[in-house]
Amino acid sequence: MICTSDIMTKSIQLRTKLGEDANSPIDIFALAQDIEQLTIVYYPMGENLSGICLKGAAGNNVISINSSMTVGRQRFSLAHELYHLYFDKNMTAVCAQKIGVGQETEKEADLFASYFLMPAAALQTKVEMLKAKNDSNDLSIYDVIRLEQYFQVSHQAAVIRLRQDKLLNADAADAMISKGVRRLAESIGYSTELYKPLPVEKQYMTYGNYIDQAEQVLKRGLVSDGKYEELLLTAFRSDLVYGDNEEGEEIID
Amino acid sequence: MTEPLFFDNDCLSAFLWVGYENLLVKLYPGRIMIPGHVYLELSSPGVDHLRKRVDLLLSSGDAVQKSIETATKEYIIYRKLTSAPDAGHKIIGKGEAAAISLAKCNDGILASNNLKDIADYVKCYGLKHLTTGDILKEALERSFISEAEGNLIWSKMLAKRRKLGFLSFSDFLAAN
Repeated sequence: MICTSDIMTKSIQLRTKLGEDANSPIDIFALAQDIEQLTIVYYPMGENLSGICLKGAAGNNVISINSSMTVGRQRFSLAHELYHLYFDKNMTAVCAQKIGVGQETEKEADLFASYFLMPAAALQTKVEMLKAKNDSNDLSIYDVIRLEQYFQVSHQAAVIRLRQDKLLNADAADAMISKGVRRLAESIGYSTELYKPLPVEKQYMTYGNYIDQAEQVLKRGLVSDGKYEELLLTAFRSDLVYGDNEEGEEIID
Repeated sequence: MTEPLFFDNDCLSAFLWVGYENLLVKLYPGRIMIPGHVYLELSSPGVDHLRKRVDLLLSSGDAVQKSIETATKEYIIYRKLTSAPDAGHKIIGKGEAAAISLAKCNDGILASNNLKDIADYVKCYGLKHLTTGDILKEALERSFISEAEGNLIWSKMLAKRRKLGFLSFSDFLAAN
């Protein structure tokens, strides 16, 4: 039996531990990069796998995110894997599938991701504001888009959570969950980046501990320049080996 | 010289990045050898365009890919350099180790810019060795390029973080 209040508490605990307040929308990609000894790998993994968490020896952990999924979904997947990393004590390696699918721990991780990205109090406040603005007790599809854009989550994650918190009724949620919203989001002035994967050439990337470790072994004279470059290329960091493709000086602003 | 040239990533990619791999073909017809490990490094998703250029060299027969089989002399050297080098030596990259071991066992020439890390192995294995600078100098001597063109190529290679040892081709020529 999943204890929602326990999951909610854990989501706030982790926000606090990582230096975030309890309510604001977060840049989870930037946040995760600051976690010590964590390597984050972005890799296109097809349709059935959204993320992987590996707890390695000596605290060297890896989270891999399916970069062929939408940016909104990737943010949710990263939050999901953070649950496994911090709270799933019996786990050494786990692969996440679709939202709401899998064993109890997977469902806990989904719930955690939802609360981590959309804190209950903040979501409630935003919903009340939208209802007051519209002078209506119901949320429209445009309101749901405004919420998912504010919290930067996928449309599916937003609808599931609103239904679970009884902020959307079942019929409205069912009608909205499979609705394509990219055009609607554009029509009210939002960027559609949230609903798209990154371009294929940007779907391979590694950040965090691995890159730092490669730099350390080079600095300590343990490996050659060639080995260092091989380590970076293996981690899809050709930008660090050959520089960015953009020409010109770095802009300092 | 008719020996095969075994390229490491740094040297080969320098020419690929600036679109001058045809210079290698003109200078060393039938002698360009690309170790399998170098090919793999150039197959990283971010540099897929370099791998495609290598594929053109391979499909046209202007270059040959050479792999290292297990339980061969090449493999023994390769394993030592990449996994258990002698005391005082760094672990070197798979691509450069493959180029060294293949050059050693096939009486070839090592094409590599990484003098700092592999100089001991060049000496120890008695290898002939060419750098990107040496190759451009040969191209100049055979009138395939001018010094001005060499300087332009050089600056473009430096922009792609290739380690050429000198700020310009002219500086290299003055010192060599």
